[in-house]
Amino acid sequence: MSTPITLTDLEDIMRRCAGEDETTSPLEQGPHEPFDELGYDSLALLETLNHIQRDYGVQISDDELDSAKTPRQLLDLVNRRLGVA
Amino acid sequence: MPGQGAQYPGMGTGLYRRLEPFRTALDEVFDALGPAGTALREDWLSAAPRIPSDDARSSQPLLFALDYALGRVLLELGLQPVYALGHSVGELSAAALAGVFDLRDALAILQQRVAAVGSAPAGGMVAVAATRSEIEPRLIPGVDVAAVNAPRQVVLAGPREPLQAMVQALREDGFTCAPVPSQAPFHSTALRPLADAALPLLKSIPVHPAQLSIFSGYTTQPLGPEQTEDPSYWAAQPVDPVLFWPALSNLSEHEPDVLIECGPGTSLITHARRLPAVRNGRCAVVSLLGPPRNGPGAEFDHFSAAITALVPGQDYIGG
Repeated sequence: MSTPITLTDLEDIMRRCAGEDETTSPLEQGPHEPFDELGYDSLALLETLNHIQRDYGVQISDDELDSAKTPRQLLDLVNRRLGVA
Repeated sequence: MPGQGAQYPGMGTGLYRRLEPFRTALDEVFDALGPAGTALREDWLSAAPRIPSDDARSSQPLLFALDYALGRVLLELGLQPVYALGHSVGELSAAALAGVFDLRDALAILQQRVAAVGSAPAGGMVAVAATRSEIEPRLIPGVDVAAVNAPRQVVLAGPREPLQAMVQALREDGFTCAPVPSQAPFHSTALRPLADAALPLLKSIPVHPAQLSIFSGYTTQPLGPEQTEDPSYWAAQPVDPVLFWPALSNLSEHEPDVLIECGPGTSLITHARRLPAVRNGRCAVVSLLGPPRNGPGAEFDHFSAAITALVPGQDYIGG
């Protein structure tokens, strides 16, 4: 049984991808905001996905990634794929 | 003011159809382009454009036109921007808006660049999620850093083969890469002949004092007459890297209240959301046309809301 990915885990990954310092949270505005409004463009999102795929051993297609518009949606997608949602 | 990479089909067409001052300013640009402008406008407005939106023959003049026309509308509304920061061709739009070049002369510079690009080696541009210091030791001959857009976003450009080889090597090392929509290797040494070829034209074009301060994406500082009056500063732009993030960071030290995406899409304000001043709420970000995913039909309402927020006491109706 896989461990689910949590919002905090996603936040950590997103912060690493952004090259951000520890004082600012990428999810300050909330997990239901569209990624671009959080400052994550398609490349940053692709990188986030690559990290998730590596760290959690899941495979997610570009099309599926397109359907995840917010951090919450991405979390749900990954956890569904992990079988823990 | 965004440049290559920000284009998408139908961009600005919604606002063009509904906002008279915007239509007027845009038509001024199309008319100044002559028959090529008439054809471009028709293609841009058509349901099935013949020229792909990523093709420089379409994207470069359209990006220029949209950046410039939106800027004109803002100025006409009484907004007094402290700085204009352009990305790639956006800096030429800023120069025209600031009156450094007459509109027709700016367009002549643009048209000459686009025509020259057609004879450059085929190549492309790729965005990499990496810092400049991670990328530089890995550069292979022919591939250059074309832009630094964010703390971990570098754009590479070069002729097709070396670029593909480099991307492959980067991916093998675990770097995330994504192609940038461009059919030419902008901001790479492959376009050096363009810089040389542009000098005679630039030397012949009169330069006027800037009516609006331009923040340079190349020097990463405000432009002075020593650059604006130097033909080789403008000639080198298609070749030199766009240091957008360093320029934006420096601009941020001037404590802006708001950063406005004065062109299509939201790509520049998306990067700007990484600024500490924006994260902390000290500086707002606003786009004028809204995200591409909302489509041209949403542009007018989005623009109206943006103006209402930007111009005190202005309940923007327009039309």
